[in-house]
Amino acid sequence: VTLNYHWIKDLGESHFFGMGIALLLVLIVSSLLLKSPVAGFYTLIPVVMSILLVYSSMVLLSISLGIGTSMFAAVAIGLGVDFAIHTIERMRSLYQEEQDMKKTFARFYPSTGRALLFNLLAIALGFGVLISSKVVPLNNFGAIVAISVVTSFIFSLTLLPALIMLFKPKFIVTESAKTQGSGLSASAGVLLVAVAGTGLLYQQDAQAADSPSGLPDANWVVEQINAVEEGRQSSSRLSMTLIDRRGKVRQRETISFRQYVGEEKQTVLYYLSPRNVKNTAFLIHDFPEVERDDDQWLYLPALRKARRISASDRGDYFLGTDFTYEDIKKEGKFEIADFSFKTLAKETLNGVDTIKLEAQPIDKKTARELGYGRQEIWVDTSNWIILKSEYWDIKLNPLKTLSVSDIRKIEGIWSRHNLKMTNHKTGHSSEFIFSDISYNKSIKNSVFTRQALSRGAPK
Amino acid sequence: MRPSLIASLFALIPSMSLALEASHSLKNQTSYGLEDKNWQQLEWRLDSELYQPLEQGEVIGIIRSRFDIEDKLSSDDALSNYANMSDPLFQDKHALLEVRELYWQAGFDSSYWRIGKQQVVWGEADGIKLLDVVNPQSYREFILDEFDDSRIPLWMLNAEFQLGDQGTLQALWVLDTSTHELAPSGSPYRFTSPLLVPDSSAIPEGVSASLAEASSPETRLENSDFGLRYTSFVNNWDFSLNYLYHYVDEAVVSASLLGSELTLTPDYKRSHLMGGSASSVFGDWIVRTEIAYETDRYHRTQAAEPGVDKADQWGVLVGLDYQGLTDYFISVQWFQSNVLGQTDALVKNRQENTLSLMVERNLFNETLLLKWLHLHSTNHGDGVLQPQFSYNLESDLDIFLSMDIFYGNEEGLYGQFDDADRISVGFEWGF
Repeated sequence: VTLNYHWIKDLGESHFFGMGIALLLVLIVSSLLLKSPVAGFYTLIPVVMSILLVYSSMVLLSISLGIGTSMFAAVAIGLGVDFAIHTIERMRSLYQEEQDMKKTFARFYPSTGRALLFNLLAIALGFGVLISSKVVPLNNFGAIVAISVVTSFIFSLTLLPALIMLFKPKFIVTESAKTQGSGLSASAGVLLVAVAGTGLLYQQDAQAADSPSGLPDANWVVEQINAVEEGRQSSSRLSMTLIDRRGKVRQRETISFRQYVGEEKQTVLYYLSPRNVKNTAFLIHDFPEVERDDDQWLYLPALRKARRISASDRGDYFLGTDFTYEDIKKEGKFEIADFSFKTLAKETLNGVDTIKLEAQPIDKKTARELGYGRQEIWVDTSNWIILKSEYWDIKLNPLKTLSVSDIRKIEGIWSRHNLKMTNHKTGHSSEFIFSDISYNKSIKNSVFTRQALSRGAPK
Repeated sequence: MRPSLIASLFALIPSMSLALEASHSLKNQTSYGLEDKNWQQLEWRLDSELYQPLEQGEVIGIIRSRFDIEDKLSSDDALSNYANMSDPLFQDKHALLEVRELYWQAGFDSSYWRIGKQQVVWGEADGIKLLDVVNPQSYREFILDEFDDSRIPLWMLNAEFQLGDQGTLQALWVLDTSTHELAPSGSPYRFTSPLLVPDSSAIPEGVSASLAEASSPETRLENSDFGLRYTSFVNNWDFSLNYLYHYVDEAVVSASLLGSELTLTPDYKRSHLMGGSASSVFGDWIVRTEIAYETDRYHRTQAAEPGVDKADQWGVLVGLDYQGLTDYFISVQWFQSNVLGQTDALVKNRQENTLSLMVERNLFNETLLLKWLHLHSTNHGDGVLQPQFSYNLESDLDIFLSMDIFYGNEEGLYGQFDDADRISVGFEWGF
């Protein structure tokens, strides 16, 4: 009893002293990580608010500060600060991409907000189990921790973004925040890559093991193809050479811009020459929902207006080329819901190790829409870029061949510079040569609107 | 255009860092009249488009020169429909030289400005003008030439402001008072329909008529046109709300009888236009619609004096495009105009209906275009058929063959040109 008394008599004082040290350390570490003392201060706000709310709850629920309950602050700070750091870091990187607070918010909540919610549920339920304990201090501890992480989460996703919106702190909005952020991301990235890499190796082995032929699983390969980095935005010049069966050559020069708004992909393409198609422009808003048709507009200079066009015929050929609208839109990737995939072989194509896949539309309706009954694809295993595709029509007659070459890294992103599609039925071919590719060039959001199409290509 | 204006524009050039880009288009069109068995047009047209970066934007100009070996579509008389600032640099029955467009445009964070001589197109209709009335029209070839060629560019200030994520507010201040260009007397496309011009048979016996010359409203600040358009995209619908306070570009010809002298005086009147447009896509179908209400419009009456009556009018257009067939584009439109009020003895019907059908077929990777356009007035039973064949011979060389065939009552809008049927051949070369 004497021992307990000596233990407990200084508990209140040491609790607050300890909590002060913990908060100070969190402030220092956050400031260093985020390279801004102000950011460190912002990180503490949800945690401090949460702790104050817990003290109020303890008074209301008549829970006294004991040995068990005194530990809550350390746990609450440790867990609660996670939400704040995630929020700040993600908002910072999103703002640098969007340069618009509303768009930052629109992307933040469905992605990071959702992940944090799952994180919260896991932690709160985990500690919440203690509430069912018959040991009263543990019972109180479980309740307090659950309250503290829930309130930290709520403050991190409401108060913190509201303050950021209101004050637009420099650590979020300035350009240097991007490099600071990427520094943090880079260090976090190294760790993540190490961890994920282990998982990936395990997964790759597991996939290979799944297949009796020793070939990797086709769906996994397609996931790698679809995961190839393409940048949040890009701009490029595209030179199209169209050659008919008699060798008559037609030339088209275009410029195109692309950006992602959340998961929505927006692309606009302007014709620069020849004169008879100059200023013709094509705008597409491609939505992530499979069942939702794209919004498409075509600006015709002869009419001086943009008209809405139907997006239902994905297999129609794009403005006289041998690429379909779907080929253009997917940029060498697949709509997974449209196909069933099968790994055929490992092959060497022009000295490059590839995996050969087969893609078959899932049903006749999809085949009719796409205009393809079957595809064979050769994928470079070093970068997951498709090097070659053979296409068959819906009656399974040979239709087209795509060859991809001159694949180079631009600003760290693998970029296709030469695509040649040959139509075996018509003898017509289309060669696309990309140049001036940039993933960093600033593009105004207004470029991707119907109204902007009549203004001509941005210089 | 006044020489002083050209001089001031050229005075700007030394201050620019010259990076002038130019592209040109040379078009030849030869048309043969099928009824009068005679050449209607042997025309060469050169459009030079110039581009020069300036300040935060760019200057774009189009210089047009036209030479017609024939002399049926134009006259030597000065064109009275142009405001002074828009007068062609040179014009006679064979030739024309004009600064067709010349403007500076620049986009900023949430606004876009285009200042100068330009075209502004409103609405969703194709070939039928309900909201597309900001620029006047050249009826030198009635409605047979391309939309882009028939619209008369005007000097104006055109500003667009971004409102929210989807909305855009466009404000227009049009200083240029140019009006419709009509085909001269002697042209196969001069207006003769009583729907449009006074009917000589309505003039009482023993009365002589004289027509005063029409001239466009003077270029003064108070004669400016003003327009507002709000456009947005909501729930898969593109829509616009439009307002235009303007001089109607069609002259009102009123008659006054003094003794045995009937004087016909053309004049231009102001009107408020309020309307909107909307379009959306449903699978393979695209729905387009336009509606407009116009105040103080003048309509021809059967009375000799004054021969016109004022009444409001409204119109609606519904268009349906089908894109479900590969390489086909099929479009139908229904247009209805309605005259309101107590006006009696109108020459035209209170309600007029027009239908249009357009079918386009692209072949051989869009090198060959077959096009069929049909406009038909259900009230008067007249119309025009326009089959066209166009082939992309080289990257920048198109050749074409087309026919324009009018039919129906000669008092109708289309039937009046029943004798002007033609076949045309030509090419357009870009360089």
